[in-house]
Amino acid sequence: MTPDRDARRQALDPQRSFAVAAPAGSGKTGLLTQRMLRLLADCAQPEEVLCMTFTRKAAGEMRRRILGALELAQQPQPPDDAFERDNWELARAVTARDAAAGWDLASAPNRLQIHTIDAFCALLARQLAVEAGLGSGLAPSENAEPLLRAAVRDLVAELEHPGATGDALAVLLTHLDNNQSQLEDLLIRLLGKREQWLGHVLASRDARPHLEAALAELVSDTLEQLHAELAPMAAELAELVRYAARNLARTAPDDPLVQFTAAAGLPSPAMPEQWRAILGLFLTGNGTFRKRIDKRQGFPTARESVDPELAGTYKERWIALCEQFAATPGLLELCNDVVALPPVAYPDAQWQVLAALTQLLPELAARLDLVFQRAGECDFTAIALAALRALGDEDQPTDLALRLDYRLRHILVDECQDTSSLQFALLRRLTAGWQDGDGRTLFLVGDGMQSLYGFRNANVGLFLDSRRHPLGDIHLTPLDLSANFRSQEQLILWFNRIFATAFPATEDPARGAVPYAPAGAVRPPLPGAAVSADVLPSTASATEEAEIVATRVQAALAEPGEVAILVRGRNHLREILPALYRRGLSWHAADIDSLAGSMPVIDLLSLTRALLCPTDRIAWLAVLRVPWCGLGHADLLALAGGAGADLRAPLLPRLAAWAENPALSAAGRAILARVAPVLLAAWAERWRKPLRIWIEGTWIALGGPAALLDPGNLRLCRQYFDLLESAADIARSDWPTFTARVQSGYAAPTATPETRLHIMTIHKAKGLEFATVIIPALDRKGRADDRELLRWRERVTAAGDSHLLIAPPQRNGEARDPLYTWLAREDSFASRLEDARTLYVGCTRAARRLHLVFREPRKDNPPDNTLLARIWPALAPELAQPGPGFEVIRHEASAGDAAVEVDGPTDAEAETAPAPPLSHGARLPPDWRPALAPPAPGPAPPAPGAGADDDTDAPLARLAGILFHRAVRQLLREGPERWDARRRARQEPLWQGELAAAGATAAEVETAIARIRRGLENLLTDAHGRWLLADHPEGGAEWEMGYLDDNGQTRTAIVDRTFVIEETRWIIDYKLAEPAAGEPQTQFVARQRKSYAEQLARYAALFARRDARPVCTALYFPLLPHLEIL
Amino acid sequence: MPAPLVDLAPIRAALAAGELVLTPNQRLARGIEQAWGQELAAAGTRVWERPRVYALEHWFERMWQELRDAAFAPALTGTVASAAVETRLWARVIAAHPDSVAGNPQGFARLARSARQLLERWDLDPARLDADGHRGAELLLAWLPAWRKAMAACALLTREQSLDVLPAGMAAGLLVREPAVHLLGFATLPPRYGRILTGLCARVIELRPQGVDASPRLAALPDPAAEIAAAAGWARDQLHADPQRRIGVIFPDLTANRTQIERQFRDLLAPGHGLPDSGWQPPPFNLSAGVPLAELPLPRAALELLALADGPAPLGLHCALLQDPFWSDAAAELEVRSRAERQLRDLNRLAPAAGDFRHALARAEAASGNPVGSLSRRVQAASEHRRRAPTRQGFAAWARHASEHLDILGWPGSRSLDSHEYQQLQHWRRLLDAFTALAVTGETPTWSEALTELRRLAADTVFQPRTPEAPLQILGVLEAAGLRFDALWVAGMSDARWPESLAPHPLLPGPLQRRLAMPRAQGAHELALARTLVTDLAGAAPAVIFSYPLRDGEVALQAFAPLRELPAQSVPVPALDQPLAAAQAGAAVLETIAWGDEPACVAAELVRGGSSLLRDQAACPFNAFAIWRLGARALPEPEPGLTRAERGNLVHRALELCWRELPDQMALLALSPAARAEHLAAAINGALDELARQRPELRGGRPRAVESACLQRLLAHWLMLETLRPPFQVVAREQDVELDLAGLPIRLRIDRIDRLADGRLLLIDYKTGNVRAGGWVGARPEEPQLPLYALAVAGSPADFSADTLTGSPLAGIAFARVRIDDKASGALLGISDVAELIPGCKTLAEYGLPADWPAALAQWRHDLGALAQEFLHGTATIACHTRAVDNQTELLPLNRLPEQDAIQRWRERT
Ligand code: SF4
Repeated sequence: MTPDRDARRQALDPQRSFAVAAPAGSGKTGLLTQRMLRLLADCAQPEEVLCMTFTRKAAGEMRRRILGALELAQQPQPPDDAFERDNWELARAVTARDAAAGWDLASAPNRLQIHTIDAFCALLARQLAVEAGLGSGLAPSENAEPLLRAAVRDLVAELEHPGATGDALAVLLTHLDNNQSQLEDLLIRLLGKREQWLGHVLASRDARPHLEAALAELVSDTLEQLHAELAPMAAELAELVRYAARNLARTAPDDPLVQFTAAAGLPSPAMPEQWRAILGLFLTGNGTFRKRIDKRQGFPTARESVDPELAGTYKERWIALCEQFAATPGLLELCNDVVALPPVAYPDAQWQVLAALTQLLPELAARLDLVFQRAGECDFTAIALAALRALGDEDQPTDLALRLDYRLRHILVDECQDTSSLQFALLRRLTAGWQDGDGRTLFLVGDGMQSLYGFRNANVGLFLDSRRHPLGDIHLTPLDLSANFRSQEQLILWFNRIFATAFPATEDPARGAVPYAPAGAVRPPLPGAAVSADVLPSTASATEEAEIVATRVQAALAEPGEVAILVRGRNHLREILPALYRRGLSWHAADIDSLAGSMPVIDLLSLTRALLCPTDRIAWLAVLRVPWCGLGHADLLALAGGAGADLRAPLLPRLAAWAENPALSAAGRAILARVAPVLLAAWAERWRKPLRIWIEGTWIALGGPAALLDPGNLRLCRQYFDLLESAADIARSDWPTFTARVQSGYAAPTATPETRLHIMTIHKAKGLEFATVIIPALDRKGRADDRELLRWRERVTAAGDSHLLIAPPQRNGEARDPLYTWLAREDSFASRLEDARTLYVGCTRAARRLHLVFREPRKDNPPDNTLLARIWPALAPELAQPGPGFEVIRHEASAGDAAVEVDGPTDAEAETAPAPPLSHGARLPPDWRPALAPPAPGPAPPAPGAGADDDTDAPLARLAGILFHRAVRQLLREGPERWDARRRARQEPLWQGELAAAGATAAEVETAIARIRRGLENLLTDAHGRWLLADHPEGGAEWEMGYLDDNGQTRTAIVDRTFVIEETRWIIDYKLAEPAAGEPQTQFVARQRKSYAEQLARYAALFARRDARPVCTALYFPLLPHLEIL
Repeated sequence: MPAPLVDLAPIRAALAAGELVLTPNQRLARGIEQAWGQELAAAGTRVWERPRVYALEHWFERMWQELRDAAFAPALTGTVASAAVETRLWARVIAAHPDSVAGNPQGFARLARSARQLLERWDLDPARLDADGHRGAELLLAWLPAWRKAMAACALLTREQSLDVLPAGMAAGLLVREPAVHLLGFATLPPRYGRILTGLCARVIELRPQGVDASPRLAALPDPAAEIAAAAGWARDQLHADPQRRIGVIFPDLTANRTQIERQFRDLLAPGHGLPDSGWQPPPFNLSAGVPLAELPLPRAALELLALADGPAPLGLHCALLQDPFWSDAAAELEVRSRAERQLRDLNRLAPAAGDFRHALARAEAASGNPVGSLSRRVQAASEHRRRAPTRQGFAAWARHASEHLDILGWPGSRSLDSHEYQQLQHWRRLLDAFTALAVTGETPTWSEALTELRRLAADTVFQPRTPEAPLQILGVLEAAGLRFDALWVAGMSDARWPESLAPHPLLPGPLQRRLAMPRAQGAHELALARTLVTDLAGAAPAVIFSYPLRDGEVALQAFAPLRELPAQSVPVPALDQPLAAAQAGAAVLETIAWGDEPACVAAELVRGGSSLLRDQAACPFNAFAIWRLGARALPEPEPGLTRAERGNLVHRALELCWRELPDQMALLALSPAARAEHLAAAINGALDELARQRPELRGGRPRAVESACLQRLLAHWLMLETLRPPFQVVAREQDVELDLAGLPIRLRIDRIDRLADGRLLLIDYKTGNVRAGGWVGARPEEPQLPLYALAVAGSPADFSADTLTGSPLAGIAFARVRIDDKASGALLGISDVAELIPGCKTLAEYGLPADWPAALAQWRHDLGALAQEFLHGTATIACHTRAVDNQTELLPLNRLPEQDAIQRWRERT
């Protein structure tokens, strides 16, 4: 029987909504596919079912599976495999529906609504453009940071202008010690997460009551929880408090507990201070339960007591209560939470700073919108916010059916644990008005244990909450899958043993605390240990660790299947990669090798920069020192420095004059004879080609590819060029941003299909599976985040309301604000929880074997911010006494390598070992010659055709000429005799209109019309003109004639006027031109002849092809009037 | 001569009879004209009348013009508005309409125009549109009356509206009724067009091009990039086999991927096109997509030059323009421009203003002793020209203004234009004409609004370089309509791309769009279109290859369903799309070069550095060589606000001023709190006044107030710490001293010298950043500054102007931590010879130095002297001796440290 059969069957009920917890390996994509098939079979339109995923990859996978199932359904017989058979049956129903409704999903799979959340938001924002307010032409971009920065700079510029904005900026800047960079970074960070605060700061004009209410609610919620937990012990507690209070009233009358001397019971949940005083009876300063109590807390010994009989009894009652406390799960944490609670009001000084901030934020957001509009680009948050806006509010939702042209009936959401509250809000609005059992359902699938995207605002609490409380009006039935179809049984057992304690005991949606759910094995156990731990001495070096990892890899590759090294941070690989390299292994590394860390790419950056900016001497010096050039120090000095040299001037002129430089060595001269001409030629032709082609061509001509130490690096170079191509504009006008983009790039994976070794971060590995997984460096500390300037937190209540808890930025040298401290505490909780989940995700990628590598902690316990610390409680005993399927290998300290400090540094810090000096380099031999030449020039681009010189005419004169020609054509059509003054006047509105439409002013229109008018008058009255217009045989106006040019191209010639008189073919062009001021007519005519002789000769030749009649060409100038026979 | 691209069979008779043939685009019309001409020429005809074949819209325009030329009154009621003019009017209307989207008029103006166009083409009167509760349609309806009014006020109408006049013109006898019209290559014909055509022509004959008998094949490529490469390789092989064959390659997303496609085809068909001396050459193929004019170098420079006159612009833009060849005389001005860039960078402004640019140029010209000064004169003249212009004027006037402005600046520069650039220039002129035509709107924008519009227009204008007719055509799907090839490749045929996904117009009710089969409104309709497209393309050549990428990023794709049955074609993907680079890679035998040559520092070159020279030499001799003798310094990038250095200097200066009036600690202690604050404020003001000379924003207002408040807090804190020290007397401030270290002169400025109660001296260096103790020990000290102070004071007292110092023995050297942070450490951090003498200072011995000053000084003199000698010898070893190297990442391209491992491996290999 298939495991989880009931849950899986239930999940296909199209009438009900579900929230499914689907741990690693539980086959959730299969489940989603089946449900989607099931729902499609009942739909009027396939668009009624919407499936949202987290990544494009997942969306692609879903789509592939659905289409695969539909294809499977073409088989007449059901497949044997049970799961496949279910798919087949479900898909058969869909194909039947498809055929009946004529969907043709196989041909039009885009009708399947499977989208990433981002893509769906974009779709909504586009289709509901008005409601979303985005309009056209706003594209989301991965690189939106420069836009956020631009908005921030826009705002900060207000500092110099009068007004409230500037005042607020001044307050903040003063608070930040006038560190504008810090202010910028802070505001950019805030903008990047504006969905968390925008609603709150826009909610009311004065943010203070709003924000303080959130604080008050946090405090009262926590105290209420404590109140509830303590309810069974309330009476006893109250009694002990009274007892202590009475004692203290005598010994320490200032003690806060004294106020309870006559208290009837416990204080209300609205009184945090009083509760803190009470908890002091049970908690030590370190947050543990007291083991002892004495007169300082109000419990004197019998000898000290005024009431000796009571002393003993009460102490015993206290001990009993303490035991009860300790036995209540989660109570200790709760008590500590209460102690840590922040005050419910901001101190005025702090508020002043926060007030300035909250005043700036809405304005900042508004400026950002403008920046987006200007750039035609925005970030994904803008799209999501627009989509949300487009859906209206929950009370008055936009009628989607009306707008999307189909009724959305079912929504499925994958990886629901990683959705943000913004995305959840979207879900709420999409389902606003939905009711249980109305045929519309929501289906959430997620795994709290695999929530990894806290840094991207994922809020796992929302998913947990959806399993307890209705979402809007929809009740989601919680379902749990537990079968693991991926890992062999031994692994599963180990996971269940180890992770049970790594995860918190109870669920807490507000904090995103998820307890561990044990998995059930489907795959049988394999012989041999499933999990191994290589335990190194605490003094072992990273190199030793790397050797062990490499050995493990080799062994693993001897077995079948894919092998993965998973790390939390890329820098954990620093020693491992060389160790693998030494063993001749190759691997498939996604997002591991930084592009900008490799020398060939650095060299290309230098070349690019040098050609873009001759002022940059480092770039130019570098270009002369890289292997394709390789000048020695003395030659560099000869070229760039020396007596009297200006060390800031551009190098280019000195490079151009290299031949006259006596200080250069012979080798230097040989090199420069080759290199300098290339660089100078490249500089001379700058911006004649697209940036990438220009730089790449120069690089090739310099011998860049030939000078690669490792030809395999050509791939990196190509990646760099692709980046340069896509960011050419940025490279030109914003070099720092461009280099930052190169910095953030990773070398694309190289591997061949045979490569079975994969290296990646645990985050990247999410959703993948490997036969063997190796996780090294479990003992390395994570990034310390105790230096955040500003902390805030979005708190989503059970009711789905979102609250903003924000502490003002901290000022250097001042005590930490209690609210800030509380937020820091919460953040650190969250990251500890996420650490456990990260390790869980990493370990559960393994199907057959898992290897862990770490150094033994120096003290009893590993430092708190290591992955190891999370599993230590369960692991430590097993290290001494390994459980089934677990193997521990202890490595001895290697002799030579005593006590290297490796435990200390965090991920963020570098371990710099002093490197030996770099004494040698590589370069192309000075006499190297490239074996290439530019292509032979092809045919020249077609010459700008005749009349191109018209281009230089004033546009209006050109237009007047055209209008004149059109008038003459019309005149000939209607007959010159009918073109009297009245008829001509009727033409004037046309001229007027055309000239005005071209942008002419009234005066210009007048002048132009006067010219046309005069031209026409002359034409009609002048003898030549009348001759020209007369009805001659074989006449034509604006005659279009096709012919073949010398290149065999068909061309068309347009002849103004032509006719035949006495067996002579006349060809006449008229020109509405006049001599320039002061120009004699003869000179003008000669000039015109020169310009048009060639064109008319061509026409003549054309007519000569038609027949043998002699041809006569002429130019006619109606404004003079004058007929010029050529 | 390439063979014609169309099959004339279905229209031959019509053409011969002089009947009208209409096509969906110019390309097909032109193709027919070509083919017809070649056919006639082949038959011996040498000149012929142009066949009557037009693109449909072009023909409509001709008819409209004929009616206007005939002074047909209904055709004279208005001119047809260009897209730019109409969009501008929409934007105006939308901005004035009280609605939520009024803040984004541009975004919605385009939408409104396209909605209007759709409605009219589908023969619906927009005014009678039933919004049906659709918000978008409601808005459109709300805008419509105002827009109509605006159009009427400018005497404008739409192209679609103009069509309705045509039948009337015919009725009036002004147009000749066509006996027949042949429509070729239309996938769909909007209803209005159909109606008008039926009105104007006796017979409307829709022709479907006859398919060639073909056996199309299907090729699957790994990803979109490989697909382009494979298509390019295929095209190259086809042409090698027969250079006269008509080859077509179709990319559905040609416009979006134009750059990559053009480059990859060039790489394979014209390898070496990028080499520096090859110049720009037209590609050996015709490519139907163009580039936005605004992105081409010439127009881009023009727009940027104009923008500089509009207000502050990012520094990067100024610098890019300074290196741009398209204005003034770049070749002759290289050094001046470079100098100006440095001037500009030294200002540390994120967005320098036009005035900054002008001054930088003027100063640079003055400094290079360039008496001509033509560059700054140009910029000066341009700025005056700009100043003289009125605040608001019409578009035509602004167009003139822009041209004049560019003329003054010498755009497009003194470098002679190649043919590509010449075409850009022509396009730019036409762009200005279109811009002038906006005058019809009657608006009088400001310069900045006008410029925005010009930029928009330039971004919307497509530039297509003229290229000679070539046998290889690279086309989008629409451009391929009706054409014929000898071999055709159709890329991008995945099921994610076809049928087109739905994207109904957001301003029109969906049901309406679906009912009327408007574009991309209905699934079944799109599917049918896609199928027809495939059928048509499959018959467009005797050999057709359809291709699709197996994956796009992380998404796996399949072929569009109707293609899946086709026989598979395997095509090689050219290994790399950089054939030349690939051929070269690793082809040469590299030689080893030992970086051992040591160019000694000659006297004439003698560098006069401060303590940082020795710090650099200690850290990495090569870096010191590069910085101090080659001038390898990073160009300053502006930081927001004051720079770290500026703020550090302010602190130094304010403290100097502060102690100028106070002889000793007693004097400080004697001041009442109020007097102390006042004294401090005066010192801060003095310091700020000095900096304000370069930083005008510090002259007053908030920036000054903020910095002043911060300094006040910091220095008050500092002075408080000073009061806690044992008594001292301030004997020197900002004391310049010079030291000769083994022949290397070192200039130093000691921030402060205190005399302690025992009469000995404490040398102080103010530090506002993070400091570490102990950087002063070892043969290569990380931070040799304080030891150098000590050597200077102890070694050459004669240098001191203040007599009092002569012979005064040294008590200690220390950094003064002038900063407020969370660290508990005290005011001073340094060394002294006696324990507990100076709070915060450990003893020499504790740092492992000789226990008394003379011995310690001797050791420093030896160690630092050795460093100085190293520098003078020219020693330039590449090594990381101290942490200071970590702060010199800008030198990595030069010292090549990242290559260390690779070089080692390479040397082991060879
Ligand atoms: S490798 Fe390609 S891009 Fe580079 S120059 Fe040669 S042909 Fe051009």
